[in-house]
Amino acid sequence: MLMCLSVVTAYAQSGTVKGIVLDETGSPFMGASVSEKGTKNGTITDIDGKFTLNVKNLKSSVLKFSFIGCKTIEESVNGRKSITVTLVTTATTLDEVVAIGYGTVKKRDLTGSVSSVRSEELLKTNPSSINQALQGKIAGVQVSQADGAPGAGISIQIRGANSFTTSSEPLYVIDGVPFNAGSAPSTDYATKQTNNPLNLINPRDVKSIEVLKDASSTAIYGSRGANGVILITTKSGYEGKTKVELSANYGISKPVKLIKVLDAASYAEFRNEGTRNGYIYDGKDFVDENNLPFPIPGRYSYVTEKNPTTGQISKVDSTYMPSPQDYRNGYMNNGTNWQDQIFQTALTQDYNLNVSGGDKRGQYMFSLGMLDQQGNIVNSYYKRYSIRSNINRKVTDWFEFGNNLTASKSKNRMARTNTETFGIVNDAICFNPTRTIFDPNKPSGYSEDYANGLSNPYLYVHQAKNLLESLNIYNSSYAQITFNKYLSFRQNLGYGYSQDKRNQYYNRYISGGISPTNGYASQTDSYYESVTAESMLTFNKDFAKIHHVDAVLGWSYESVNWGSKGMSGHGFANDLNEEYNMGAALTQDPNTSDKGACSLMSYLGRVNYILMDKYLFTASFRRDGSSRLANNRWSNFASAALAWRLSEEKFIKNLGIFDVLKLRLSYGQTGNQGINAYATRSRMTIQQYPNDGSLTNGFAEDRWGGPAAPNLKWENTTQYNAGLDLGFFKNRVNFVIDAYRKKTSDLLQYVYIPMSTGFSSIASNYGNVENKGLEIAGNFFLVDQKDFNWKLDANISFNRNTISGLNSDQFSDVCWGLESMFLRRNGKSIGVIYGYQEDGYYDNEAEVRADPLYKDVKDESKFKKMIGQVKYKDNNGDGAIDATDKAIIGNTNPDFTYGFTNTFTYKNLSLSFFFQGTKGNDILNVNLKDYDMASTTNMPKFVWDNRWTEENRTNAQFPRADFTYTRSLKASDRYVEDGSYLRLKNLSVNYRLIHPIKEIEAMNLTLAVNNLFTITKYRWYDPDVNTFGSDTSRRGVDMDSYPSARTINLGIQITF
Amino acid sequence: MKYNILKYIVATFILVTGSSCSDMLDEKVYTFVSGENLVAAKSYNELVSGAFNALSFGFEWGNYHNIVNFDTDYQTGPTWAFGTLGAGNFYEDGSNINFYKYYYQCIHRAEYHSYLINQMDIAQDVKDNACGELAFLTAWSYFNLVQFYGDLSLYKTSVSEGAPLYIPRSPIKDVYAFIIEELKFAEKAMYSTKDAKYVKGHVSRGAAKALLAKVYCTIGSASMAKGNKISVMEGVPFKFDDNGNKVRVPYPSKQTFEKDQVAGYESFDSKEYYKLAMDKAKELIDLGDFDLYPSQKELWSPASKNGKEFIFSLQTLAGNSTLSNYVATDYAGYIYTDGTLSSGYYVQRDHWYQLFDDTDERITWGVIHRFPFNYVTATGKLEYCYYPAKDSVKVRLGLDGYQPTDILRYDAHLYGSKLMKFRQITVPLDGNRTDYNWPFMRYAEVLLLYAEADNEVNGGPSSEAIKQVEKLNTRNKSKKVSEIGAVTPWTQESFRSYILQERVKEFAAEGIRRFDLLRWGIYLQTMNSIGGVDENEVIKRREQKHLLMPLPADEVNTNPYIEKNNPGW
Repeated sequence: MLMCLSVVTAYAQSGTVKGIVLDETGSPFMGASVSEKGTKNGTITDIDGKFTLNVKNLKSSVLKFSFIGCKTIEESVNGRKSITVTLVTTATTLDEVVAIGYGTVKKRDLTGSVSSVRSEELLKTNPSSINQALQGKIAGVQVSQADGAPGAGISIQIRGANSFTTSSEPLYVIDGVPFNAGSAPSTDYATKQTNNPLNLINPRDVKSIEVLKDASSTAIYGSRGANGVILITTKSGYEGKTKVELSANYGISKPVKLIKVLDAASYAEFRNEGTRNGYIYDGKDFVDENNLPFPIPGRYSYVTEKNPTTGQISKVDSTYMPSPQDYRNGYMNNGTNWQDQIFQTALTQDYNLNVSGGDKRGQYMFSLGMLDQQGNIVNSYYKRYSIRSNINRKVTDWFEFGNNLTASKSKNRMARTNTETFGIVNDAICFNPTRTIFDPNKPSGYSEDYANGLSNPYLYVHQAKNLLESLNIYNSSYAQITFNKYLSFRQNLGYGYSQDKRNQYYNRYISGGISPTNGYASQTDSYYESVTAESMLTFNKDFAKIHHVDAVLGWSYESVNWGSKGMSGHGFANDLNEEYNMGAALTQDPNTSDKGACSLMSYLGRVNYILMDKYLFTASFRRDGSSRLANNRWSNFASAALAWRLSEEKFIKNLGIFDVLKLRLSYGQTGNQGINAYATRSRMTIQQYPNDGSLTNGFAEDRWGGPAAPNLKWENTTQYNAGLDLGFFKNRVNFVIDAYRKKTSDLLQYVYIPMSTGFSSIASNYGNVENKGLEIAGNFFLVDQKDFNWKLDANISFNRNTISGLNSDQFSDVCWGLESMFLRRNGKSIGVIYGYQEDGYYDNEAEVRADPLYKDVKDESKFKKMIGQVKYKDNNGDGAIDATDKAIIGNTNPDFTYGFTNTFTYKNLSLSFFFQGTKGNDILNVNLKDYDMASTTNMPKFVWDNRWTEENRTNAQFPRADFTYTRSLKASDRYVEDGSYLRLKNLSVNYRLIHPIKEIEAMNLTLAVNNLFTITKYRWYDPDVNTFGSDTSRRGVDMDSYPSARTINLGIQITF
Repeated sequence: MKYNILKYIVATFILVTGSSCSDMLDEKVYTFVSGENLVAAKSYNELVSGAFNALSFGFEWGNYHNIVNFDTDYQTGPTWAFGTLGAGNFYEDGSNINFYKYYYQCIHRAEYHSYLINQMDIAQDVKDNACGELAFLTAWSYFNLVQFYGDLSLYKTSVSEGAPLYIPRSPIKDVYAFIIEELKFAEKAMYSTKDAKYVKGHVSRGAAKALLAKVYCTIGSASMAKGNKISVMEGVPFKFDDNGNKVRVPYPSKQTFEKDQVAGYESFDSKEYYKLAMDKAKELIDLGDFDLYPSQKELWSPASKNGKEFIFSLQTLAGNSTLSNYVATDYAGYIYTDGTLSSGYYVQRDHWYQLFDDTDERITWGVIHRFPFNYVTATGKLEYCYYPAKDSVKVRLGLDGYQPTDILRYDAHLYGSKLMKFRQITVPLDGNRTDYNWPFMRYAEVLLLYAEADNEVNGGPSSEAIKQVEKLNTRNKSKKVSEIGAVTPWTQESFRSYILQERVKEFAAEGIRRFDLLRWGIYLQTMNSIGGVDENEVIKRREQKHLLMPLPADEVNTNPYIEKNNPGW
């Protein structure tokens, strides 16, 4: 898509030509070389893209503009004094330089499978984190957000899940140094909310992101490369005058959608229907219309009292009991829509200042950022303040050093979502719509519904407190010695520190703190510290013009330690001091703390060899040792790859079809170190026991952990990759196609063992997973004209996942009531859903009687009770519905995922839209569990509209209203929904002004809309949901998710 | 060229400083210790506490008291609580899984810790006492498991000492042989309660003897031949009148059952074990390590916790979230902020209440007869309900603490006996966790075990058996066995039935009834005599398969030696 066009302005004549070089987006092109053809006369453009050159002949001289990766332009001076040229990247991106881990390589020389994303691409969606920005951009990379909460966790899976119980997250390497961050203290056991450790990096500081996918690329990271590697390179300064860039972004967002719930009138009808069903089906006493919960017509009800002496009965209180119709006629303002009380239109502000510059001996970049993102749930927000400084300096021509420092502080006030209990979104949907927000008769001053375990949603969002504050520092420094043209030595030193503090308080009027708890408070904090040292010797040389060797030899050591502490308590005299004075709690929970450490040492080496610019070979080796393992501490990982640039061969050239044709083959091994530290040991921890009321210290093996497993070893992943790079029509059509097969064996996981051992699981190497897949990425320069460009980038990926080598099925629970819903079975994928199958509803008594399940039932009333109830399939026909009737009812793995971006450029105006989606994946919609028509909570309208009634037998999707409190729906296919979607993730318009006024170099205006629309059958808020985050065994669950936002962003970027 | 040398020097310096630390891959440990550390530190006390700590797991969330109480003839409550365990749906029930899991955790810890203590260089009596306590815990755990699950994977040493992860199940008799072996060691190894070194709250030699007597009695009753008779006060809870209305049957009726011989106990000689039981119980009575409290009120006073009648109880600590429990709240209710009695959902059935003499302290003091159940916002007053219905005259007259305004309510948790014994706590009953020490074995049981064994050995109660039981009659202000015998002379069968009934009256909701019905081989007969459901629609019908609990599915799936679950599951 890179072509160079030039705009030419001609003037009078002189010996000096001035000019400006722009890139295809119209920004100044710095560092481009400008030379006079046929001479040694030349210069380089400065930070503003400007150049000045004395030429021999103003009439006849020809200027040559070039830059690596750009099409060289020759421009005749033709008497002009000022020339403006636009350099466009050549229609191939293959000359880009990409990071590959312990080095860089030209894209055309790649032998493995590496994808790269540049800063401009990343920033289109105004992401608050870099991993979020990758969604849909790269084939083979599946990005899922936990939910739509500001600052929420993001999980990334590259080429499928490799593991069940350990993490499948890739390794992140920032500026050459592996990055780890501990997890923040959790809210509580029921809440699955996670934060995103990569939030520490301001996406605006990132220059490029490379994703290493195949084993030849990742094997250099050895024991941690199995899940793929993401290399993040931050921006640095350039040679030239100081450049100041200021950007401001304003966003306004709303939830992508709201769940329609019953209005007060329909809710009242639901309550009445439940009561009527009581006598129609459930054998309860008849209730006349006048005595329904919402009587027809509405009437007054009186509380009477008998005078003990006179016996006279007097009315002491009267209440109006409205009818459903009253709510349609304006009674109590037609009730309350509780979602309106918790959701808000939210504002986001994002400011960044970036100063950079440098000279031949050193460059610097300094940036400041401030993000203030309001959440769509009242009182939730994410704020981040970040600074970065990247400097490098050449002390002598052989010694160079540099330092990249990031520090960020963030504050995340969370609404309670992603939780099994007391979720606020669920609360707002369930809460009785006939109630008012305020109720002066209640001690809290707000209406209450504790009977259903619900808090007043308005009260909850305003008063529940859950604040996570993080402080992150990440520093990487290097020193480099260049011995000669071929050999250099580099020493990296990385240091990372993150500290998270979580403060919570739930007062006496909201869930979590209601009597008898009387206020619950907790304070927890955790830290994670890592030090990394890496020494590398690099060799780079051409021999006899046809051999090129590029080799690296290295040693690395990483040491990590972490810790946490926490305190909590309940029983506060009042709610005034919240959690600030923990000593005020009547009941103090035991304090908790933790500390751990681990280290990893590696020897590594890699050789790239290129023969005649056609045949490319790569071999790498790494030997890793880890403190986490005992008897099998060291392990070796090796890889080999070759590529053949066929398009350089005569017989292909002669075909005249291919501009690029490259075949890549690779094979390699990687590992996974995702086992908890200390798994190889027997752990005797404090287990106190009181004797006659006085506590005595006790020791016993950890109740949840398993017995010692000294023989643990690395998980081993072997991957084959075959890739093809294609370019046609002068490289206006490009394809990168990769097919892979990777098998992970000796999975590190906790395996269930008989409970009679005193433990329920043991860490072990057991089972295999195979992932096979195909990835296709294409770039198309559809229109390529002087003023108008149309470019299409598209990618699609397919992955199939198969488990083998298990002795027995394994299960994962989802939440209370949905146990064992995720199955792992030989021959099936990780992520298949397992449960009961429904078979419609019992439509009449005869149907119940005919069911073999009820053949022994003597109690006549039972038959009637079953009408309108869910029927389950007795798959094994044994006359009972039990665990043996469960079947595979869904699969959370997509058939394929895809993304495509259209970019139109007309002069300085560009328009792009980015679509992204998945196909064929199921979502386990846990939210539906609360809407079984068996309690008096409100519900989504689609539940009510599709309930079983005598009239709606055939289309019923939900059982009839039943207030006998005996209904308990099984973990069935009712909760499995198609999660396929196509989303217009981003639509943006960008206008660039060059020198709008004298003082300003360039100005960039962007208007962008995120999540404009989504095409999906999924009934809850957002199909892009993943409650359990990086837990591979339970992907694709939606449990009380925070709705995603639709955001309109206005951005302005000014360069001085 | 001189620069070149400098380059190499700088490079070497960086490399060396970066990699010169030694023991770079040692795993540093901060939050736990190893067994070897504890041996070196002679932490025998800590190892005993750590093992007994596992007893509290079942009480954290109600697993233990639910499984031992819900599936019995005399307990009831709302169907939402009794719909699984209480209705015979044991398969994969959480409490069932945990009962199995937690007792095996006790066993694992007791055995591994004993192995460690044995390596310590400490005084022999101290070592013996510690190992004796752990042997007791092992025996107690296996004894509970074997009665619920039958054949067991019998670990005599723990996996942490090298025992294999997978072993086949051993027959019941082998399990008992191991239990008895452990207890015979424990009864000699431990301190007596009178010993100066004895610490309150710990088990003692008396506990081992009491448990031994109980084990012998269990074997004696379970192995007793099929056809022997025993009667139980039972029967349908309600009938339908001519108009189809439910009418409660106010009193249970005497049902005489022919017992079954419990499967797996065929090889035992019933008489022989009853003789052992009688001797062991008598030995303990004569030792005088324990004694009865003079009244129910004193027995269940918070001051009596771990006192002379409590042989073995769960140890708890108020205010500690894992070492305190909701037993008191679940069974006796708590006063909510608006003044009403909340919770207290699990009650004794009305038919149980009808077993007692009017004067018996176990109901006069032991049952809560009147409590506020509703707060009327408009008037700001509390409404009270009363129990049982037959007290209606007293209510009308305002006698015995009743008020004429008291109301009779038949809600599942309002009409039944809430027991005062569950208020043996030292903290306010406010809905939070309390320090209720679940009594596993009380001295009253030793007396009744003695009487039961004596009756079987001698073909009827001896005067000594009568004397021991009368101690309990006197304490409880119930009719004396000698007086009953004077009217209708005791037979072996009638005294056997009396003791069984006395056990359910004395140990109501103390987790003993289900074991009694099982060991006597009358579980199915008794439960099914209720006629399907009780007055609260709790399903009491049981089948053959209910005689053994299903093993947790994970146990069957993971152990290659277990091909099938217990019969019927």
